[in-house]
Amino acid sequence: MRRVLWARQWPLTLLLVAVLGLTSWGTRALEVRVPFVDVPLPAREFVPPALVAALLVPLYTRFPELAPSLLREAQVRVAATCGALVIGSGALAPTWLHVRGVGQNWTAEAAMFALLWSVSLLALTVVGELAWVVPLGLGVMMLLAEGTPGRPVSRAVSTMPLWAWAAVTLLTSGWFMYLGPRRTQN
Amino acid sequence: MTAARVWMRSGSARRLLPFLVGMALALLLLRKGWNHEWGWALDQAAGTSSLLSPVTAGLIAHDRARAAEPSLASLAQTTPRGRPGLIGVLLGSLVWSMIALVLVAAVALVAAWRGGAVWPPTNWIALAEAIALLFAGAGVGFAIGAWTRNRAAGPLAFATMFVLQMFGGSLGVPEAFRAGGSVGTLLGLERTVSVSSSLIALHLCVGLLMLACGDAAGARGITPLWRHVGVWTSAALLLLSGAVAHRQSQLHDPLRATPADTCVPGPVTVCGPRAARPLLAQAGKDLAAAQARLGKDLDWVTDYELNRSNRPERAGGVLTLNPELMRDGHLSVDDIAATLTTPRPCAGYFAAAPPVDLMAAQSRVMEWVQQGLAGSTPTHATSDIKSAYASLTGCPVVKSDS
Repeated sequence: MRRVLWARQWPLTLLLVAVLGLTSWGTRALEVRVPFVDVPLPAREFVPPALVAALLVPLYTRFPELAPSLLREAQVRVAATCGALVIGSGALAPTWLHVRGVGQNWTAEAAMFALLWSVSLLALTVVGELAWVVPLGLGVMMLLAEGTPGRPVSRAVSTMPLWAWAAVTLLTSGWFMYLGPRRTQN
Repeated sequence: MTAARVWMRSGSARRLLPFLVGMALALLLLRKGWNHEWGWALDQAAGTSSLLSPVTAGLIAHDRARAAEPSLASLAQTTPRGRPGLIGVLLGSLVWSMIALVLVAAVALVAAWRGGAVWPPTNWIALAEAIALLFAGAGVGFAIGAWTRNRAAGPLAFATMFVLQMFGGSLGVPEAFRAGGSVGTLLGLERTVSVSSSLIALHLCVGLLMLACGDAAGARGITPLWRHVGVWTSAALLLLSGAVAHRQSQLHDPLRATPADTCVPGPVTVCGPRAARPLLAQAGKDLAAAQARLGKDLDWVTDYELNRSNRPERAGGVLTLNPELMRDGHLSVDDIAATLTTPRPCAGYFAAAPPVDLMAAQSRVMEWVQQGLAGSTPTHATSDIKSAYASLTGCPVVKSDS
């Protein structure tokens, strides 16, 4: 078990998730100005892209060509996917609760996390090792677009209810558990 | 030529080109109001480098780190170009990122052409700025990839470039690590060419220095003299260009206001920068329609000018125009109301103390205008509204020498 945790770089992942979760909580009421953006953005919204990129670490296969021959690969992948999703959501949950408490749109933030997670898992099956580009690139794009009048990204993701986002998250997670990361070296 | 083809094929950015173009296009098209004028369109396209340069840095760092793996590094020694060929890794992904940028710029130009932009296209320097920023990102990625040599290189380079974009401006050059994305040429704002040029030089020097450092970091054993020369020369160039950019940003604002040199005649005459002509024409029509709808109870001013604060001594109204708030090609109600209730550049607006009386009068008239434009049948102006409007049109105007 310990070998699996080390091989999948769980200690590093947990450390990154803890740091990012604390950062999200610590900056929950802070707003920052960003180039190319008209309005200040909540600093906490910068955390989910980095968090999703960190959560992908244990989902990579260290030896892609060997993976199909490993007996417990499928079980390890299921456990890694579920574990990453749970600790990722858990790291952001206190911030979402705070945002909800002050009457802001917490569902939009949760939906953005679900979107980043889902698209990243799909990317992992398509581009393998380069999948980290997707949460970071898409996250920055969403942040830059969000900083325009009308907050178009929040509005767009809020058109779908949170239960639908949860369903999308579970579906894409299941899809990834079934397929696994792309089996080629990049 | 064969080597160039191999480099182009081996760059990770090639596989992610659809993603890069899609993200940059989404970023461009989610913003409104820029598609009436070439300068602003190109500026918004260049602004997508805020996304493309961190991604480029990350991808190049990823490629460079992979090339440092023992098997590939040994293989590189046996190739005709040896280790210097690794720089080709950088060139491949950089070229793909540039292609993504050019595609986005092409879409922006087509949108501006369809939006009625007045020929000829301007502000090409914004594209040069964006390309220089991509080069800086490529250099940063190359250096980080050479130093870290593991899978963390990509995300680390991405984060580094993103943080540089956010906070690089506090290093002494306000616009450092930024390109485009902030100019409203329709509103009479243009980027200062001298500041742009110095920023381009600065970003190229950052890229060069990082490239030289990355190359030196990748050397095994004793670093050859020419690598030391490369690092120190590019460091000196960076210092020089940084000093020039700092001085330029002190001497000039990054943006300068362009004169209101074009007027579109009509029931309501609207003046502004030449590039804004299509929008001025629409503004004139919308203002005339609003005045007709509100009736003749008030003696409406029929001459408005964008960017009035440059020449406050001229009589006539101040046009408020936010292209981002336009819907279906029409001015927003708020902009129309703000314009109609600023019929004269009163001296009070430019005074040190807030013009309380003026603002109260403006607020009364604005409320009436907004109700009139929103309701099915506009109400007649009361004597209170008429006197408030009269105070706005009769206020003293700022003197030209003030």
